[in-house]
Amino acid sequence: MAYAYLFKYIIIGDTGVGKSCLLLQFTDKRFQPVHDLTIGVEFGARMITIDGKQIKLQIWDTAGQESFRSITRSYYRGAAGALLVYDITRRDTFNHLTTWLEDARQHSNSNMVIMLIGNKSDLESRREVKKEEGEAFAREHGLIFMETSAKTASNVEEAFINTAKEIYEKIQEGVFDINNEANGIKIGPQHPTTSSTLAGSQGGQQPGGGLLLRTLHLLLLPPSLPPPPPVQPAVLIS
Amino acid sequence: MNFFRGVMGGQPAGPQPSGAETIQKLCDRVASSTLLEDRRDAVRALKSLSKKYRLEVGTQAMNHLLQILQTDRSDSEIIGYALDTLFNIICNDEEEEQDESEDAASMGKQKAVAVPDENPQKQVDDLGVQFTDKLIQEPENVTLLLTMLEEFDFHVRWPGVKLLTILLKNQCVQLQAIILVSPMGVSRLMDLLADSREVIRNDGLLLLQQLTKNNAAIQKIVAFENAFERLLDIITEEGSSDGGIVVEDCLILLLNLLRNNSSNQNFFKEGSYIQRMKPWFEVGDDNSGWSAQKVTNLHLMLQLVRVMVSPTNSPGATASCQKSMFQCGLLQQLCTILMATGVPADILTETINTVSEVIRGSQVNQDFFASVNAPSNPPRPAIVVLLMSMVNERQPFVLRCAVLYCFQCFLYRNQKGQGEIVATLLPSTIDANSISAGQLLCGGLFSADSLSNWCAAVALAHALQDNLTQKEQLLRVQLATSLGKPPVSLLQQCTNILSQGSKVQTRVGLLMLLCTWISNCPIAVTHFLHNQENVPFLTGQISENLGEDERLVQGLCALLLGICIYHNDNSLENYTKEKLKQLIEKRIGKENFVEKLSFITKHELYSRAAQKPQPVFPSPEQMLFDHEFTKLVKDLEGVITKAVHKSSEEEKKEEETKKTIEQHDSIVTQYKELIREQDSQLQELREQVSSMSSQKELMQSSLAQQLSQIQQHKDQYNLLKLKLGKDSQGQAGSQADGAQVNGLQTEELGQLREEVEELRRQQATLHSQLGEKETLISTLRSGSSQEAGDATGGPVNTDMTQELEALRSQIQSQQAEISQLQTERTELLRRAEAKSSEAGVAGGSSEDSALLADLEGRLAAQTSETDRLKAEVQGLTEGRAGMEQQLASATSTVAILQAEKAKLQGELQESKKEQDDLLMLLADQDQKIHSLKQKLKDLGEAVRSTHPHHIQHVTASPGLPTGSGADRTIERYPQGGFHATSFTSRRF
Repeated sequence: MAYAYLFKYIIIGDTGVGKSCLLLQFTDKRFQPVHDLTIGVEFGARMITIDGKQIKLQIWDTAGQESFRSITRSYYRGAAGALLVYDITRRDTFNHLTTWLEDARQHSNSNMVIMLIGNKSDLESRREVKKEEGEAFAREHGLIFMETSAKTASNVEEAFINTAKEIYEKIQEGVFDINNEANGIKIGPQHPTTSSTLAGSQGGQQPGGGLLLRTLHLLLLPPSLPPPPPVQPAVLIS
Repeated sequence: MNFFRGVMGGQPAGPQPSGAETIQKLCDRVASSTLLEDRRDAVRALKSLSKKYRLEVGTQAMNHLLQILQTDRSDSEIIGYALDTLFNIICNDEEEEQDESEDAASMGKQKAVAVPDENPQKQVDDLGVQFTDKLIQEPENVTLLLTMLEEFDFHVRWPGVKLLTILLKNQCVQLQAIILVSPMGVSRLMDLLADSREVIRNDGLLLLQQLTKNNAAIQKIVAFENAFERLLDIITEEGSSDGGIVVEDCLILLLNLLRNNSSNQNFFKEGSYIQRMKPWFEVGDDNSGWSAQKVTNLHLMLQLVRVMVSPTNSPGATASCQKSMFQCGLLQQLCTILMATGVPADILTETINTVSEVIRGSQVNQDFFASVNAPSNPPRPAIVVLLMSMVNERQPFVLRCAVLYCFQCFLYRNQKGQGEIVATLLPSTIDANSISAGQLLCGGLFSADSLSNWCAAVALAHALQDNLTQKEQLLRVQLATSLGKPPVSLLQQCTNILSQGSKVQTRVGLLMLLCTWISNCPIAVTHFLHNQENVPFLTGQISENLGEDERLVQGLCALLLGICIYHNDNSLENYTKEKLKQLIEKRIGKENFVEKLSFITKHELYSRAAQKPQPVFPSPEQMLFDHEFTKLVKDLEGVITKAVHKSSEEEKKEEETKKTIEQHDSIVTQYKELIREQDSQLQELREQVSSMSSQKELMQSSLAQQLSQIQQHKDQYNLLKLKLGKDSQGQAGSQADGAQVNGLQTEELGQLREEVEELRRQQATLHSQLGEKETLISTLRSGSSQEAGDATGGPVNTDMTQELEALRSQIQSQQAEISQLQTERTELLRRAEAKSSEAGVAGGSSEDSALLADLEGRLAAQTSETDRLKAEVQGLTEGRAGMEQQLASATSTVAILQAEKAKLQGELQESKKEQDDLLMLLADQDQKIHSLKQKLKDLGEAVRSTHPHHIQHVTASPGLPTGSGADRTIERYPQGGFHATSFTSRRF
């Protein structure tokens, strides 16, 4: 599929905040209440449209567990956008944002767009982090902010698309060096793949001798089943 | 030892030091020299000794060398030597030693020097691993080596790459773990692929090959770092399959990244890289003389395609890759190679395997494959051409296996394809002039070549897999064997050959075909049992005590007999389930039967075939099991064992229970039917209810809307009424726009009303005054007419009186008018009230009940109600319009009134003036009377009292001299004057 741009995203945040569910909701439009722990990193992709242009999003969903932290760090450098996710029903995930942000800023390129996401907004009764707190954190650190629910799909599209819009604007402003793929941005192929020019080759397959089998002639009967009535014998097996 | 002298030329001659001593000295120098040059020389010397005295250099110098890497980073030369030395001591494989130093010329090619080492090879291996372990004990050392790669200098980067590669080779898992956790470690290694120096890029490829081995996390990071893009670019640059070993290295790395890594496979697919594989397979017409490298490259390329569509991948992932392979033309390209001439057998075989997996289970791709024709004359379907090879003894074994796999994949979950294959054996579709797939299969089935027998049997079995229709269709196939003999059914022919005691492979193949054929197909079981020879043959086979070779055949016979029991519909009296079981019990024994049955799964090749769909066999003799057949065995073994073990009574009981269950079932079915019916009714009703309720809601909402409209109208009406009321109250007074209720106007009206009141009062006083004056005048006149001849006063007085008379009548008419307007107003009010009461009758709709039956009635009621309300609204609107009209006419009337009033005012002004004149005259006359009286007095006549205050009163009008007694009236007059002005303006 042709696209104008390709953006690489990563999704980061504590374990269990719903990163994989966000990705699944975005790519497959479904929700899986019980999700295995992500091991290392998983990949997903989807096409979106911004400003009338097709944009391909390649998304790497990282494992939130501490033990995978060193592995996931390898993904910061090549990403154009990051979704930093916390769980509004677990304050500790919000408290860890600073660590995540430091990690991201340290290992990523400076232009990486970071979207802060408070996930599980459907669980209002169990909320521990106020929306205003999320907004304040985002303001303080220059992030975009949104509350989402991977379960109800609320704001999920918007989260991914708004991040892409921000990147797209940065490209228009010339902030990103789009020729350096290490920034996580790639310009789409200018031309469709070249069509094949090779004509089909000819010359029959030589199955080494062809049919040298004893030919069996098949005698065919109407579909009346058991037992077959006597029929005129056809040709014999030589 | 000559070269030692060369290296250590600066040392004084003396007794030759031993290698270990020399190395110790050099190490000391490396550690203690303050001059960089000295250290550099020492490291260079160590390097040159590192091959011959590998153990010594390794044990003594490693730490010093690592120290150098840390301290002397600014000098790339010494770093280069240090890295080379470390490489030499860690590398086991002498051939990999590529020394570019000055010693290389003499050392490089002399394997002879290195190989005849005293140490056995194993010990050497251990040495490399030992040194590796020692080095990676401190993970910082690896991190240090990774930072070396940042140095652009060729003399540092290249040995750095080589050293890391050999470390990875020796201790892959540990190294991977260290590199994975070192920040940017993998990214840095990926950067090697971008190096403009080919040597480094190529060695970088080798490093990445080692790095990505069996480590999904690293594979994913490498892929994330655009490895696919890079590698595909390099492959294209190097000429794809025509390229050299670099292409091969790239392909191996790609395989490492994709094999068993679903995330990377998904990325590869999503990145549209499948499309980029297509040009790889655009081979030319002349396929002779392919280089070994090209064969290797193409082989790897085909494997790469297979990795993406492997049957072991998740079905969804494979399906989407198969789809894009068809869409981008990759499958078509592969089929072209399949039909091309001169393709090496190795590549052809792998291409067939690849095509197999690209079409497996994908209807679109299978349909395409069925349509591919070989470019022969006349064109033959590719399937036919391939099957020819399968049943051809002269074709290589692997190729025949590949064709079988291809055929299996073509039929996998392809009922259409299965039907087409079986149809080539059926009367209606057979074409005697061309070779068909069916003919080839039958030919293979009964050929003298056991491999062909086996392949054809398995291929035919796949045409029947999970397809009851084709199992029944195949029963119709009849064969003519020899002249003068009756034709034989295909089933019969199979059992005939089975009983003739051919090769094990043939019999195994036929038994697998028969088992697949009759399983799940009672008609086929009946056909099979109908042949009187079959059951005795099977029992004979099973019960005999045969050798090891025959065990598998015995097991398969037991399975076949078991299927005859399990899928028996008891339509043949001699071979009911019961009788067959008795037969087993008598002739074979249950235990024996079950044991024989278990021979199948116990066979050593069984589990091997169960692993994956592709038929791969180390040798033709081991070609015994088919993957799909192993699944069938798994399904049937348990149930057959159970079925055989059951006693006849149990069987009967089961039959009975089965019957009762069936009865129950039928009852249940009836009920189910009923429930289904009711369900549908319920559904219907529910839909009705929902549509009704939605209608109702609609109605209610429209009702509410209308009610609110009515309310609005009412409000408007009330407002109008209010306005009208006010208007009509003030109709006698001045009035502005009728459409608006204006506070100012009300005020004005009030004021006017007050004025009218005042005016009336004044008029009354004026009246009384006039009356008094008249009487006075008349008395005066009567008194004076005789006395004085002046007659002027009389007519003037009369005039005035007339005038006053006119004024009075005018006022009266005005009063009449006012009362008229008032009645009009009350009339309007009454009417308005009538309207509002009328409107008040319109109430809310009747409440609705939950009953469906009521719903319609209610709806009707509501509708009528709504209609009525609508009509009412209509009426009200009309009424309102009428009111408005009336209001407009009233307004116009008011306007006319105002004009009249203005006129009247003017007239009043005039009359007042006249009155003033009259008063003046009166005063004159008074004066005259007074003077006349005076004269009369003077003349001595007695005069009556003249009420001087009356005259004074009259003379008190403005401009006239005033007396002290007139003070009170002066105050009132200006007021009166003002009132008069206002009042007159109101007159017609």
